[in-house]
Amino acid sequence: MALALVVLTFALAMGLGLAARRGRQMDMEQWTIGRRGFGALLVFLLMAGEIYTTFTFLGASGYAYGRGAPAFYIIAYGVVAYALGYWFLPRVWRYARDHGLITQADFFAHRFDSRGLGIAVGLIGVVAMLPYLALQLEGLGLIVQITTQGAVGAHTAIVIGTVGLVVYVVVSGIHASAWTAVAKDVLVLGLAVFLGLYLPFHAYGGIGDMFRKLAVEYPRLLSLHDPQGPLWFSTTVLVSALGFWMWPHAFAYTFSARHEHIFRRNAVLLPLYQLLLLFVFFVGFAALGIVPHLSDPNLALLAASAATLPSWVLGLVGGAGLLAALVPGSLLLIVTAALLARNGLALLPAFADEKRTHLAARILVLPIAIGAAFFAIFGNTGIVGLLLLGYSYISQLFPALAFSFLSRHRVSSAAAFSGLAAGAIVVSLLSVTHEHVVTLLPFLPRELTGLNDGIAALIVNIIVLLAVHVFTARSPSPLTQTDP
Amino acid sequence: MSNPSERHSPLITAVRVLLVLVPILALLVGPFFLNRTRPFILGLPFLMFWVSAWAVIAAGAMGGLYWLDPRRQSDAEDPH
Repeated sequence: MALALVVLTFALAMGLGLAARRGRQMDMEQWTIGRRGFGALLVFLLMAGEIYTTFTFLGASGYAYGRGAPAFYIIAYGVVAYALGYWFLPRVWRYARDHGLITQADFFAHRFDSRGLGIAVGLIGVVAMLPYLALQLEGLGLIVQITTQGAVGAHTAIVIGTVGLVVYVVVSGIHASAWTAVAKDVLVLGLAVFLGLYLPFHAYGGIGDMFRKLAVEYPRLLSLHDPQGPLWFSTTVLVSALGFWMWPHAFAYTFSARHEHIFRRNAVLLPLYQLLLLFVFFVGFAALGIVPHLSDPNLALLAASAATLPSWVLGLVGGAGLLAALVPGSLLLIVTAALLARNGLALLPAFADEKRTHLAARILVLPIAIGAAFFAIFGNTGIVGLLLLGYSYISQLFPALAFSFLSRHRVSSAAAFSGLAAGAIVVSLLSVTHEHVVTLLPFLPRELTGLNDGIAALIVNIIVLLAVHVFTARSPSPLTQTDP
Repeated sequence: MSNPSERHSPLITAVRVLLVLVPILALLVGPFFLNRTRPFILGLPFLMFWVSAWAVIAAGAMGGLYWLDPRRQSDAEDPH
């Protein structure tokens, strides 16, 4: 029964993904950003879909299960990100429309009038997105294996899922992501609310009772403590919120909007949508009473469901998890291929023609997907570390972008590049040495334990950017006239 | 960014800046002072309630921001 439902969901995703193509002439702009024609609902679902990936579905409940209160940062950073988005998404969108830009690297290359910066941004994007894609596939394998009670193995599920993903992404591009996103959100949200209510009632007799009992049983669970104290919370919320919009696929769904109005209206609904994560946390907390002592906290949702629910509901959980992997996975795949083709290959004369770039992008989907699937099957525990590293690199793009909109005197590509490089070097150093800022700089007070490392890198980034900006500001920039 | 339809009175500008800043600060600074489990509100531990409440308030603030946005009218006529 569970197996049938999972297979049915997969068939539904394939059907929707392929049908999404109908009646459309495909070119690079259509394939990557839907020719800037998406209305409020599709943009909303693509944007919100970013929150409900397998990483959050399993990871957020697992974080609540394993660590407790620090998990609340996931709700907080989304809210902060949306408030920032109200301000700057319409500006980014307008600039991209006026100049016919398709990828994030296009945006940086055009904004700073530097092809080299475009290549650097494209490279960072690809390197950051690959582990993200692999993680989605890994989650997919795990979910299918557990919910079908082993009828389909994790590796088999990853291979089948990847093949399906490649087929409908090549055919329909971002339209496939958008159409499957509708099915995904209905199923995922329905199940999140159901599980978030059912499991606490099943295990503790209610949500309020659950927290009162947990507070007695685990006195430190529901508030913040070092090393994940308030400073950790606050700086992590900030870095995550700044990084949120810097992902290359965030630019893709921003560009896909029909009108800049859409972002302002969606900003009202998105914080409320974010609240649905409360139910995912309820699942994680309830799992403490149903399946305590799991060695891998990320299995909390699946293990608690498997322990309490009949096989057919488990099948629905499997289907929801499958969609939660396929939708963001498809977007990541499209955007990685588009970056490689348009901001890499297209610089070679043989691929400069728009039609060839588009063909190259669609062909590149296959090796990218194979690489990610390989990574998901053989990469094991390294993937989450790489994803977090990718997040730190990606957030280093924020200062250049923010200054390019704030400053009256346009920031030069040299300043943007220097800041970006300096920030990336700090991130790399901290990661290679496995040190934290506070241990590396012993003169800092011990109260700063828990400071997010991304903050340190951002501060260095901003200082270097400003220094180079002041130093190079005397030469007039050709960009000063092109104010959006 | 200097197109005339986007200019408005300093008071409204100040209100709009506050509508963005207050929810952000409540979430970034609040946990330093309100990092506690009790009292439970609506069944939720206090810190969890605080974060959730500000998600709701932020939604209202974004609504206010949109309502005060001078581009709201001009956008509606834009056929793009």
